[in-house]
Amino acid sequence: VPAGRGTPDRFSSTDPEDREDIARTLDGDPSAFTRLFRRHRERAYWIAFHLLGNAEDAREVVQEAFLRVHRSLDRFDRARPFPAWLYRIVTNLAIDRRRRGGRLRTVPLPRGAGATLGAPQDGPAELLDRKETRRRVREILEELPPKYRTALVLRELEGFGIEEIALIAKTSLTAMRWRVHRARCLFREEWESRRRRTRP
Amino acid sequence: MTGNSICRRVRRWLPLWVGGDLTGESAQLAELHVRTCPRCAALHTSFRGSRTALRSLLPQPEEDGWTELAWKGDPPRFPARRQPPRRGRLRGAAAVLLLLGATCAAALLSHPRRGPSPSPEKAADVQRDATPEPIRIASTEAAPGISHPGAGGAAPAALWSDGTSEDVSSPMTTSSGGSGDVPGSNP
Repeated sequence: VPAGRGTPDRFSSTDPEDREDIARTLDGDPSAFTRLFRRHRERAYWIAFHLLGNAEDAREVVQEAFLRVHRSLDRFDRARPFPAWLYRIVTNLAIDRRRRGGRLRTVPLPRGAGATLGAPQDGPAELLDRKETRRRVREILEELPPKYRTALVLRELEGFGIEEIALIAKTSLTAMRWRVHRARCLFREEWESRRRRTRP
Repeated sequence: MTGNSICRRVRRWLPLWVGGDLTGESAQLAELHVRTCPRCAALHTSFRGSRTALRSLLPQPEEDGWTELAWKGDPPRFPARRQPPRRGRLRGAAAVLLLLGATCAAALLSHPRRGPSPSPEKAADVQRDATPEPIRIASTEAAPGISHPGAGGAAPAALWSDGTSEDVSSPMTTSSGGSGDVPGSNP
């Protein structure tokens, strides 16, 4: 998991901060929910961003997800980890949005992301190459069925363990292991196929 | 175990092993086998390459200032949740309602009603009658023991055979509290 990405790496069903803020929110304290939002928004945003491909849609999905959480917080089972619930809502909303919106629309990052894609010593050719790699990867991800795309994003880009992804997707550990396995196979096949086409 | 069967097994494990999702003896066996089998090594390299490409989507340290990118200004305002009614409050409201009801009932029972009283003869008839049909009393003459505090009107009243009186159109009550005995009536 990249450093400084907000939430802890491991889910905890007894995270005291989450539990306290949920209880306070239910008692009518709006600042408690703002704390909950600030703690989890960053990772929620990146999950949505990787599934949707652009910052604007990702932000809207995260806002919608938090509004839904806020509406149904009293029905949340506090014995379960809060992030798993939140990220499940985020992934479901992102997949729904993709389904409704059709093809992925990629919006360049506002600060000129092309200049930040590579290491500082990379020359223009390396930067271009990296940008092209990202474009292809996004295309392949877009073509994967949603369950495999979500599994790859959560495992490879967000660094969740398979157990945690199983919690998020509400599936068994075995099923999620198989899903990650299959997702990597599908991605590799498509990646190699495109590579062979572009570099004969 | 033959070479082919090891290859098949390791190839099944490779997608998990490449992402660090294979542990224990399986991971050791895969590692050892890939060192000696060129075909499995090539597949392993392919998996690693595709995984590296996928991970190129990871935000770089410079991109981590996501707040500026995505969330300009303050976070969205979430409405305050409506607090559910508390049990204590419900209990208090129920107690008040109960008290109010009891007071009203006591006032109705103790306060004399206005209107005509049944004559002793008719009242005695009613007492004998076993059917629950209400008997209309035409007489406006006051019977002994039945108070008439207001002006005696001709409002009809119904008296039930079980001795209780029930209003039909105007309030009327007996001072005996509806015991069924009509004082002064002829048997």
